[in-house]
Amino acid sequence: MNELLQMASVERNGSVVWDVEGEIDLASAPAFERQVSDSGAEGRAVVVDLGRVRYLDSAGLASLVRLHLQLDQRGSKLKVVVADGSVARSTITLAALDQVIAVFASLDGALAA
Amino acid sequence: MPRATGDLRRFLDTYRQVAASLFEPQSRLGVAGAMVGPVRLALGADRAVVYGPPMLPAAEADVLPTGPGGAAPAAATDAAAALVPLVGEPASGPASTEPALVAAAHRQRRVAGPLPEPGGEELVAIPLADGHGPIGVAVFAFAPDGEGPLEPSWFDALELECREAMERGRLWEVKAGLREQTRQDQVRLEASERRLRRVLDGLFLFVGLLSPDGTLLEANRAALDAGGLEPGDVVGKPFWDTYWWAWDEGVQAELRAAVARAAAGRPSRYDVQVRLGGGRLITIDFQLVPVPDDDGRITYLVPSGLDITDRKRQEAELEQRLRDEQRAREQAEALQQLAEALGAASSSDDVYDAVVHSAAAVVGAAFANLAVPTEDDTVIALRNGPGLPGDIAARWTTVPVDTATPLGMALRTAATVWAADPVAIAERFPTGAADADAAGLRALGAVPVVGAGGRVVAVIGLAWHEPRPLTPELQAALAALAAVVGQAVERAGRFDAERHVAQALQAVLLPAGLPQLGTMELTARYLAAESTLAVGGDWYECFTIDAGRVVLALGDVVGRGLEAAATVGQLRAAVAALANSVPGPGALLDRLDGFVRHFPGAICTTVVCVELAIDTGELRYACAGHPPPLLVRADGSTVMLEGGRSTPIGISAGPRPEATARLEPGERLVLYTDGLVERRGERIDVGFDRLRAAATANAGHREAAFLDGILAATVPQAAGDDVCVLAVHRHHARQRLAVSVREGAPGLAAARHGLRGWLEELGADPATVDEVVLAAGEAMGNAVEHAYLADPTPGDVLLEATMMGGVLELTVSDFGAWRREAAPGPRGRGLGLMRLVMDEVRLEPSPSGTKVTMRRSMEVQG
Repeated sequence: MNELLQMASVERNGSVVWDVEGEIDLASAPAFERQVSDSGAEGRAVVVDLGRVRYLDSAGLASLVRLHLQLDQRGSKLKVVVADGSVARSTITLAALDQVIAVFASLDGALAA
Repeated sequence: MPRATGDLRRFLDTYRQVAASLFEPQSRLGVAGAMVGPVRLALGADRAVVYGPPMLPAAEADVLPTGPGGAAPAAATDAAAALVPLVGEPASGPASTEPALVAAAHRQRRVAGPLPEPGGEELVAIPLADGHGPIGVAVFAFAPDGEGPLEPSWFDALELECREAMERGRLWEVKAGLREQTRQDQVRLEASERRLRRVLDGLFLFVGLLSPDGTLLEANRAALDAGGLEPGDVVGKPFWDTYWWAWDEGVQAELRAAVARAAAGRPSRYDVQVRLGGGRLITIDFQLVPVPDDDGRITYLVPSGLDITDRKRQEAELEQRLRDEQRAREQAEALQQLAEALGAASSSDDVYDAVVHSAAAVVGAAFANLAVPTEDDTVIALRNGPGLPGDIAARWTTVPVDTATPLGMALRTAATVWAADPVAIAERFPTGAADADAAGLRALGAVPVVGAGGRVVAVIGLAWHEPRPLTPELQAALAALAAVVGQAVERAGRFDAERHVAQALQAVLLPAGLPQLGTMELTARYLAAESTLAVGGDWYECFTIDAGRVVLALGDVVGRGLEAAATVGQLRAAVAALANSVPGPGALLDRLDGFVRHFPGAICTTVVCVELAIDTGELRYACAGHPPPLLVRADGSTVMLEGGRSTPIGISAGPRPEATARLEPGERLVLYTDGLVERRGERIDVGFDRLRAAATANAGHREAAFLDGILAATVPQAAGDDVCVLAVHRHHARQRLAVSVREGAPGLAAARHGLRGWLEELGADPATVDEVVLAAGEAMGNAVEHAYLADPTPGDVLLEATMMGGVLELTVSDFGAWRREAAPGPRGRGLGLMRLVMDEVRLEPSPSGTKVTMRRSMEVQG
């Protein structure tokens, strides 16, 4: 496992929930993308909580976009949780990715949606 | 005095800015506007004005094959007096030299000036021309104390650029004019066609009567007279066997089918040709209508015909005319596109590519290629455009100049060569006739592209799939094509030359990359003497000899030109090889004394050599006949380091002395060659004082501005010697960070963490830290991902951060060649993100690597 990035998943209310901690960059984005992608299945939403991510750049944003498209195609759905004021939130907002991807301020909000 | 720094990079930067500004406008007046606006700013001129005739001659569409190739607009050849200021601010005051300068530039068609004004301004006048000849003059005025680049060769380049921009502008005007003309023509044609129909509808009508089986029962007099017939000739016969119809089996069959349909109750109407007396054919609008009786049975068929021969001809003409205009429009657009592609070209290769891909469309040809003579003019290299079968293209890659080919002949005679049909091709160019035939080419042409000095720089080859005579219209179009291409080839050649020289100079004189020096920031400048093409003997070298120490050497080889450049290369290699094995700078110079026994060209070289401890700033130095290093304190005061002096290399006996000093945080050490302090007819201490004053005045600036400021104040315009200057700035630990990204992507995080820690220590607020780290991370990620494509082992990426005067400056440098275009896809976001979070983002690609510089104002504690 990459030292930069720790991620673990649990199942909640029929969704896969990924808790991600660390940094998503050119080096760690491929592993991040692969793990999330593998967990997506038809009819089951994938929630990625990036609230504890300390760094997210365009390599990570590109992964999110690809995941969004992939999961969508498989009849699944990507939901991204980024707490207000978190680093990932500001990067996603800067890149206006919140207009493309379903972004939630809290995990409960994402699960309820 | 305006300064001529001669700095290649600055020249190319300025040139690029100028070219970009001149590329936008879509009219010649727009070009003039760009010249007094952005171009003036890029040049650093104080004032600019464009003179022209009271009204620019209209851009006529005469280069295009739409009409009889009208005469060129009257060029205001000897009418300098008639030029008036069109755009910008003309000189005021009766004593101004501006009118005289404008007249001179206009008459001689050459750049005039620089000429000093009574008020102290310096003026340069640039003649303006488009593809048809002179159209005016632009004047740039430089303030006496400005820093505007003012080297004559720059303005020659600018003149070429302007001429091209004006021609582009003119083509835009042509295109706009053409569009308007086409619209008016269409309106006119539609009106005349309506009138024609009204007239014809009242005319000549043929009418007859048939039984349902097609037997002609009656025909009217008009029909009989037209056919020269009597009723007995036709009545009682099947209608399709009558004289009118019995001239073509197809026509007859069509009529039989129409009769059958009419007999079944369905009318027919179609245009058809029928025969009249004397065998003449006319086109009629033919109708066949069934006539039912009261019970609904078909009892008769009524044929009728209206002569529409004239209408048909009109329609055909209209169609032809529209086709011609469509073609003219397409060709104008193709020429426009070619001009744009050529304007964007920055090397000969780009130009050649654009030509072979677009030239055919400009003149409606099927195929184009380009022939470029090799150095000795014996062989021409061909670049073939699309549209030639592969095996044939493979046979035609080079051609001896003296073979009988259109290309070779055009090259030898500098005239257009034409073979309008296969017979002409076979007769005149037997060598290529078989291949031309196999490729389906029925007409060949070759148009010479004439460059400066009347030399043929290239030949454009063109071919058509059908015979094609060389009409005056086509000739005009070819001339326009050749002119556009000629300018581009010439300009590209200049780019090529500049680039080659710059690369050669950099390779010989400048180290490929700078060592990683912690708080030490290293900046260098090299200015060639007078012309950018003169290779000088000034050089520098710097490299780390162990983890904590760096050696800087800077010297001046006797002589100029390639000989000197070769010696410089040897000296640099020697310094690098020796530095690790000698105890210090004095000993290094001793060893160089031994070295020159093998390389006599290096005798009398002057060198200053410094060994610097990166952590403490301790330095040992020795000067072999070289001007002393300059120490610039944080407060701007200066000290010459006058110790460690000895004679130039090769004329010393015994160990050379060295001295020590210390570079404190905030201080700079400046090494330089004598071009910075020496001026003919002036005592050397005047030069030293000037240097010290310039260093003091610029001490508050960042490195680039510091060195540029010193150079501007110390190097005279049209310097007789080249100049090399190298500065080391020891920053306070808090102000400066330098970290390397090693081993590619896995090393990115460590570099980001280093930057984050440094920013936090500075006391930047957390949101700002996140954003700056993001920008740096993007830049480093891009470098890691893109810089080393050609070379799969990831090289180093260097991140430097400097905090000075409330502004954070980040630079990310790599030493690989970037792909010229950004990788497509979401990675493209990187640059966008950087621009969002930083105040300024600049990308500087160079042959040795790419440097991204970003700035952001920042509040920090203390």
